[in-house]
Amino acid sequence: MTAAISVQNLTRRFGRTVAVDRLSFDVQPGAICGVVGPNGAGKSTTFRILCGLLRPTSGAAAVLGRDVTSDPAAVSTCVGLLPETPHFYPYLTGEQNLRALAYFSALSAPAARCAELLDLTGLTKAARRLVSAYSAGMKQRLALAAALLTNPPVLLLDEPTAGLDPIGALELRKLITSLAADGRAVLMATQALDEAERTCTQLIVLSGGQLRANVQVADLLAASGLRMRATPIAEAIRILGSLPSVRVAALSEDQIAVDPGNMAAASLVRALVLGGVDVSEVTSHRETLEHHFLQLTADRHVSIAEGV
Amino acid sequence: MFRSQRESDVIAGQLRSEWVRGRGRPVEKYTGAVAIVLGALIPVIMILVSARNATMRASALETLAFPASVSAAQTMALLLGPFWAAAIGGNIVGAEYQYGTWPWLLVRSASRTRLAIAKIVTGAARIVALTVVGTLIFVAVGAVVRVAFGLPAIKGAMAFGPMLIPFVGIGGAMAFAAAIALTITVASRSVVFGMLTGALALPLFSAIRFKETAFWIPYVHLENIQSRLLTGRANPILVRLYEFDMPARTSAAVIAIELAVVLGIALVVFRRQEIVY
Repeated sequence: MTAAISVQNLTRRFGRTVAVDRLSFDVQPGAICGVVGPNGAGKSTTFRILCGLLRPTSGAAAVLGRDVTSDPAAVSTCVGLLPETPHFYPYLTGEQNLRALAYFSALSAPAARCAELLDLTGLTKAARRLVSAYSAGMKQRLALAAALLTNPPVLLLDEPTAGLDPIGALELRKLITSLAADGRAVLMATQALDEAERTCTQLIVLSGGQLRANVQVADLLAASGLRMRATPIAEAIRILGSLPSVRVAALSEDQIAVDPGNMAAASLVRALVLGGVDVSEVTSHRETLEHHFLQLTADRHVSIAEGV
Repeated sequence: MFRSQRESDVIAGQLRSEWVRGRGRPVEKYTGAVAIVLGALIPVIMILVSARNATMRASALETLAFPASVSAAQTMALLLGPFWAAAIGGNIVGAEYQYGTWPWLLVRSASRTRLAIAKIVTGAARIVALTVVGTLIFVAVGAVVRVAFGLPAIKGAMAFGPMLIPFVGIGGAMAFAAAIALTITVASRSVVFGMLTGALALPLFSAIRFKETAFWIPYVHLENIQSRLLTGRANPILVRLYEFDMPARTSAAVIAIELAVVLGIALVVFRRQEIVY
């Protein structure tokens, strides 16, 4: 299957600064790929290259198999962009802004499409108000409507929930999920790791312009394990360590962390009890993306392509 | 998945979008308002300031009679036209920099050249519309004033050609003002700087108008064309001051090349410019 977005060894320099450094990743249709990283990680530069606003210094980027540098005309018809901090014509209403962009895209039924998108983004009531009177959240929703005008199969959303209140962010996340469910590929930059955890199916971690991780969110979160209080702890580690696919590590004098692999928690407890170990507490421990992100961006030399 | 749109639909869509986006833009709106208000007010002011002088009043009423009023409107357009042309020419691109809206257009357009052409065509249409409306309002208000004074709105006659030929010079001056404003705005990304440069192009070129430089000054060519079209002969002032005697077609070609060069520079800069959000 052709990847919706394919980036190979993408590099972009600004003078001596390397904003994006040999970046490679693929995003499949229907996936929501979160791009996270600290400020200056190269997120927006990657987005700008993918939508044709910037040319790469080297490497290649393709959308649905079309190269963004050599075939920008094809790419422009299949990409919808929601820029970070979207700007509109403040002297026009929301509807007029959207219509102007619809005319520009030469849509066959611009009025109907605009009405549909205003409804989808919950802006129908505010459609005839000047954009200058819109809140940040309303502008963000209008920007999403603008990105969806041509019904593009690939969406590039640069911090889509920035400036939204919690309810607005929740609604937008739902909308993004439903758009991906229709088969669209969504590449979404975000600073909010909880948002990425809740919305994304794939996660790309950038730091210093380089790829730190490219993982499936489900795999990352499945790495969660168990915490056990057991005595004597040395015996507990010996018993669990001898079991196939189980990994164990001591956390304190009486607490161990266990990656159960493909074994059930009850089987582990039974093995410990039969081995003469007292087990006083078993809790499941859920890793968060925040935990992984801090690990990944703390060490610039971490290599994580494995397991993807 | 990849839709193939007809080129004509795309161009028509971009032109329509340009027109819609410019309709409420402050610079365009107020430039239009100024042209309309001045067109309506100047005949009234002419009558008011000549209230205590019968000779001046008679002269004002003569000026407001059609077709003399067209010549008066032309004088007004020659004075003010380059300013509003520069305002529109600079702002048609400058507003996109100012509002940060270029990305919406650039990610949707496969061709920056087509985008620039749509902007130039729309800007030219606005400038022409503004000039025509301002002139018509002046002529109409002049006629109303004359009727109010019990005089016929029309006095004398003039062939259609001679009435319109002076607009060649006005149109040329406005085209240069707009083109220079657009180019400087694209290069500097400053709409104010672009507008000022465009608006001051005429006096700047006039300041460097010598015998040696006359060939390069577009306004000299415009005067030459106008004179040739009106009288069929070289402009005696241009001949005497600058030894400038050239066929109208040659002057037209020079002007076309100069305009193409100015707009070409804007296009080259625009095509190479990195514009991000």
